[in-house]
Amino acid sequence: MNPCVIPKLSEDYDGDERKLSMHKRFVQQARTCESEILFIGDSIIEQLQFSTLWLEKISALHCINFGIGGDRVENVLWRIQNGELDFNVKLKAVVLFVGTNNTDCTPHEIFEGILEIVKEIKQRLGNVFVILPTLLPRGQYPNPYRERNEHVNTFLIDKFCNEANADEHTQNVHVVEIHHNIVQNDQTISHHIMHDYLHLTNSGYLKVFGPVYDKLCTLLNK
Amino acid sequence: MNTCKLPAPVDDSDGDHRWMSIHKRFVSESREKDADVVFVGDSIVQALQHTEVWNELFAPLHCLNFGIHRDKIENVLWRIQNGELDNVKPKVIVLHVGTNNHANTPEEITEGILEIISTIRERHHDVYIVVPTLLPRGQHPNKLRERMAQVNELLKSKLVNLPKVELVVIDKGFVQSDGTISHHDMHDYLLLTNAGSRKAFEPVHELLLQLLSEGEPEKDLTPSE
Ligand SMILES: [Ca+2]
Repeated sequence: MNPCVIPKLSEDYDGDERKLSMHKRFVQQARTCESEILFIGDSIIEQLQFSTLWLEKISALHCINFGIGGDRVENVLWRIQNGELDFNVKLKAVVLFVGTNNTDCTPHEIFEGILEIVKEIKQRLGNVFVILPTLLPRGQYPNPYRERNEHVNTFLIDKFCNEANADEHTQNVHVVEIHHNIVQNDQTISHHIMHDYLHLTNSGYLKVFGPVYDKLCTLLNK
Repeated sequence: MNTCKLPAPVDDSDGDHRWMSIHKRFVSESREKDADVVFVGDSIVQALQHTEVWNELFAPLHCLNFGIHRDKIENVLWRIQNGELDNVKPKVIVLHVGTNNHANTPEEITEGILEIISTIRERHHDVYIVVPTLLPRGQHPNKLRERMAQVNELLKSKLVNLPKVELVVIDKGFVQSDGTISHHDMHDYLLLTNAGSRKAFEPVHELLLQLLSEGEPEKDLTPSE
């Protein structure tokens, strides 16, 4: 059985229940906020909200950020099934970015998990725009995690960008390919773009998530 | 056996080897840059570098930041024993680590921190070592908070007699009267927001200014409480 499609509350490895606290806060925020765009996912989404791109551009679109560091596909699936999509205001778009932490799953399992989240979003929010930025490469040098994420991207692009595979789940879903031009010619990733070879620097966010912002503006005619 | 005192790299046999990449970069940065202050430690230190507070208060003091997300005491110990501080001559080293040692007792964590301090001292006889206290964590009261508080108490008694080692209390003002910690201070109930960073690290900044401006080493510094 694919673990990515089985909704699961994040493990409380530390013993301080921080993730549950965050989830409860998000459920509360969903009920009370006036936001029209939801960013949901892992640490790369979470840390986006502290970047200049977010503070100066994205937040002006009335966005809310439900990123949790370390979250896996099945954790996000659990969260949206447990109140994080129960918005008082009608959402216009959801930006979903998760999968890089499923390091023990196959690319196809991760892809299926993301597809499951997309289905769940559509079931709950109707024909909302769903934006899927592609997974990012990681590590200073080539490594299996990079290959895994690249492989997930191949599945995502094939499903959502290939007309032949269009169905009710692919409608209004937009893959934004943000994974290009991060790995340099010598196959390394610079710490100027990813300070720890996973998380983006401030300038990294501007470069990598800039196209996501542009896509939102286009879709919402802003 | 106290695992905190056994230097160890982070195990990443099948992964992307990010930890080792970061360590190696720190070693080369220490060769290339002349820093007056080096911060070394865990996620709290790493995250500080990406706040306004860092740009505003610390970057102008010529600081290097050798923080790695999720590092435990034994990982920092390994990094220091493997060259991160061998090619720098800072006036101050700021050390903050321990919150990720979930499996260790307060006594073990304290001993581990003391082990790092003596490892630093072997390499830098005259440097000031500044130790900010460990921060509370979790939205609601929990065992880890209690453990951090116990470590802080132990540190107070153990560090007081060590020459040129300064404990700075930074953990006050985070737990509110109802026992909760606000996400306005710690966005994930562990890592600091800008506002939280300011609250916690302004006292560290003040001490650094004092230490850096000294011509002569001060003999009696009252711990800032
Ligand atoms: Ca040097």
